[in-house]
Amino acid sequence: SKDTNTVELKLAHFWPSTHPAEKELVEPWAAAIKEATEGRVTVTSYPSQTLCQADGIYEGVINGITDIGVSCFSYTRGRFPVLEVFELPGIRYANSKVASKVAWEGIKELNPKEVQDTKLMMVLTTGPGDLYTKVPVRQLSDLKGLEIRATGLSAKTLDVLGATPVAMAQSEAYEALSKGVVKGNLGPVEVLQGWRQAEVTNYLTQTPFLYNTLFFVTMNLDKWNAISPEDQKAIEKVNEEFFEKVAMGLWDKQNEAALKWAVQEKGMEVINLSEEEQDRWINLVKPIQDEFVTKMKQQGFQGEEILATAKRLSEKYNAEYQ
Amino acid sequence: MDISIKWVKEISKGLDKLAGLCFFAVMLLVVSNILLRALFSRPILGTYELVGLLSAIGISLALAHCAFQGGHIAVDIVVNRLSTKWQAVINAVTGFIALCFWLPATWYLFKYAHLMMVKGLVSSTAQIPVYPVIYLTALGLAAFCLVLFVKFTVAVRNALADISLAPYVWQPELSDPVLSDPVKKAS
Amino acid sequence: MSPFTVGLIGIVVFIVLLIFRMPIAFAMALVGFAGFGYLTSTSAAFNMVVQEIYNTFSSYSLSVIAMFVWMGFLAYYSGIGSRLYIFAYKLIGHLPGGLAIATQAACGIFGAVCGSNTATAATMAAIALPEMQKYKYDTSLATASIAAGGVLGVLIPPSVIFIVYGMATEQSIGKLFMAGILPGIILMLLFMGAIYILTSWNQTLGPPGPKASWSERLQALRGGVIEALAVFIISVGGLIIGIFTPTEAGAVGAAGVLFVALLGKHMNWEKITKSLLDTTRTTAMIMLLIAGAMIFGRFMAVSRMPFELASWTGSLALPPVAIMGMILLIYLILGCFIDALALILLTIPIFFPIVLNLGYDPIWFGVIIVLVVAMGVITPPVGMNVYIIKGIVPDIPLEVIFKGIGPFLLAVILCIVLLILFPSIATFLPNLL
Ligand code: NA
Ligand code: NA
Repeated sequence: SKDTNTVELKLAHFWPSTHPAEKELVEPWAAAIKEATEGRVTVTSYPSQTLCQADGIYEGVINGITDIGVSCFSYTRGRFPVLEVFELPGIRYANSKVASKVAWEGIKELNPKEVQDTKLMMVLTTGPGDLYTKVPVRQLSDLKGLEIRATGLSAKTLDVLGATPVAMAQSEAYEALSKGVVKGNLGPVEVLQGWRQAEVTNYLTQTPFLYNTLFFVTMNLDKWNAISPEDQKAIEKVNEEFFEKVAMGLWDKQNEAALKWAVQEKGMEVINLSEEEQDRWINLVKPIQDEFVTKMKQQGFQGEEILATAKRLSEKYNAEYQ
Repeated sequence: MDISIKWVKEISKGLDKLAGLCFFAVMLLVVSNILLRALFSRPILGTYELVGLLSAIGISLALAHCAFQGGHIAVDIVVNRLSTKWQAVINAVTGFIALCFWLPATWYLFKYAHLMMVKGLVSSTAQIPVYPVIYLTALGLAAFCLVLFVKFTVAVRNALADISLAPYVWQPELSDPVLSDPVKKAS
Repeated sequence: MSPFTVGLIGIVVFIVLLIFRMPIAFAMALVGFAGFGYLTSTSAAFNMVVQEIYNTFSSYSLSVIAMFVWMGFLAYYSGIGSRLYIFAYKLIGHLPGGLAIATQAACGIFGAVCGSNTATAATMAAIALPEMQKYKYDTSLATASIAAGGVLGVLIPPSVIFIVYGMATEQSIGKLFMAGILPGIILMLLFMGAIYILTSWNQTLGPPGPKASWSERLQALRGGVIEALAVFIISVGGLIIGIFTPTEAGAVGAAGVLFVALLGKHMNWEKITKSLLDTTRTTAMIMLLIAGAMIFGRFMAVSRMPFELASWTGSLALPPVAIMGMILLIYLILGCFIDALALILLTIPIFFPIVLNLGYDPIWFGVIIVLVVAMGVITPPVGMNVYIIKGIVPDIPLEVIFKGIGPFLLAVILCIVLLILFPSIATFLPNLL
């Protein structure tokens, strides 16, 4: 088909232009879409929040500030109640592949209404986060009263574990860690290298059940509908391909590189918690899952089923992508 | 006319005082959070978000009175050389353009507040609903528009009237004249 | 019309609106809205405006500005600032421009607490301006020197700009902070030198006072310095031993001044109210300016003007120093219109790889970028630091402040030249790490 129906799309995200999210996902994905649609659909990326603030991106996609947006669901809490299940503590994810696959398959199964106002193209995750600290955390008692940088749900998680959560932007964390305002941070290992936090922390406690962040790649519905059905099909194919080949494992690659750098170049010590110790931690964060279920029920959702779906999928894909 | 100006002034002054309270509260909140965290390991969860919400209220409620006092700075080197009458004409025109922008912007902010209420946006840790804060921000902007409107009417009147109406020419009035003339205060 | 042309027209309209005395924040927001709306859609533009306003107003990291502004006004109303300047006057007031020189030192010290140029300029203006005027210092010199001195807030660590740069380029923020220390001190000395030369050449700019005896100086020391020192120990001490973050330091500073002033019985309810109402006025002005600059920056982004200019520079076949010169020139020009932080975010993605290819050190370039920001915040027509000062002392015309900027701009350029000639000024300390 040779129609004149060309669509130029703006894509907004918050990572710096050197970040793998831009270099390995957004740019190649945009190129693949251009190729698949024979140049009828082009995507121009605006990294570093140059087009839209990180927490305004989803709304920005809806009201046309940008055509495509990539950001975190959790930046606008309450807006995506069902999807919070994929970030709940106490569910174990072996890596970002697992966590991303669980979320994407889970969304397809649950088909939550909250993301129907845009054309969701894919989701991806940071995968599990670890604790990196200035003093060793080998057991729960080491965490007692320890100031850890955390925002949102993670602050709650650290609170029930007995730590003292201190909220601040990731950009402030380096300075706070170096001065000792906080003694640690909870997040994907990537942060150690990307934000250079390995320079100001010494220990890394592996906690693959405490943390996960879910990112979306989504498009304005009107813009999507302006694309011809054949091109839509071609784009969907590119999306599935990029989800499997790039997005799912994007953070694993960064996390592995960052871990290697932190251990070999910066001399960080990696601490593994014993099975019993891990169970103790998981038990403590259970009430947060219960709270999620109760809140879901209050809002008229099938809280237990949603939680069960996430757990079932995590077991399935933990086995598959170990 | 002058009574309505007085009313707008009182309203903006009242909102400004509330804004002052907000900043006072921000200081108290941050300092108590630091003390509780350092002394008892018991920080106030959600301080981070509350500071942002209180700041948003404080800033937007202060906008109107700031505008009333002529606090939003402008380049006056060119216009100041014109006659009072021409200044009034220019003020009326720019005032009108500004209103054409700020009024719909305020309306969109109310719409945004409503949307966030429907979508259930809450702050990230303490999970406080955010929409009342956005409504208050919109309210601050509405008062700000009211001040702009009053200034616009004064400018129109000055533009249409004779120069002999000089007392009606808008006089920016500062909360503390000392700041504008520190020398006087010091001596 | 190409987006680039729309961008150019936008800048022209913006300048016209400024000439017709439209408040700067309004003009930025209005042109940003119209341009964005033209290139996307009206409703998208309104939504963008609303988002930027709410996000700016509710930003945690920007909340520190209100707190530092309040701290400045509290110091003013309690007389702590005044007593501190009496001491400074007794100490070096007999030198031409002595107080302005002392103010630069105060900016440098304050810069070690505060990571923002806007907050540094606002606080120092509230404290120092009335004092310098009291001693008959020239208004242009006094205001311009504080506008310039505010830059020390981002050159001397902690620094928001270094954090943003480090984040955008994946450089060590610790190294960047170290790299800023020496250039920060050099720039402070250059500013002092500029003041000294100006006031020696024309003594009416900063009239020297009588030389005080050591006993007079000691007496003045008891008057104000001890209070100021107490506040300084509370805020810097807490920051250094790690009790609170630089963003929290604003609130601690305000609380500290309030506490010390109440203790010294210099404060009453009326003065506290006055200081708060001045804070609401100044903060509303600053935050609407920042929101306006954000909105204007969104328009500049969709016009793709900064991106195209930057990639054009990179494609030039010139020796490295000439390209670096071009980059700095583009920053000087764009910095006249676009707010510093937005400018960095818009251009770094393109300039950074070019600069690395030319063989320049990334940490060194970080310091250059901060100095470039230093130029941007003091050059007309969009000079955030100058606007802040104007907001604190509304009766001084904007052009009077801009008139005094020249020598300080030269000092910044001289500092950049020094860094190009002797890069180790920036790289020496971080390489010790
Ligand atoms: Na600083
Ligand atoms: Na400028």
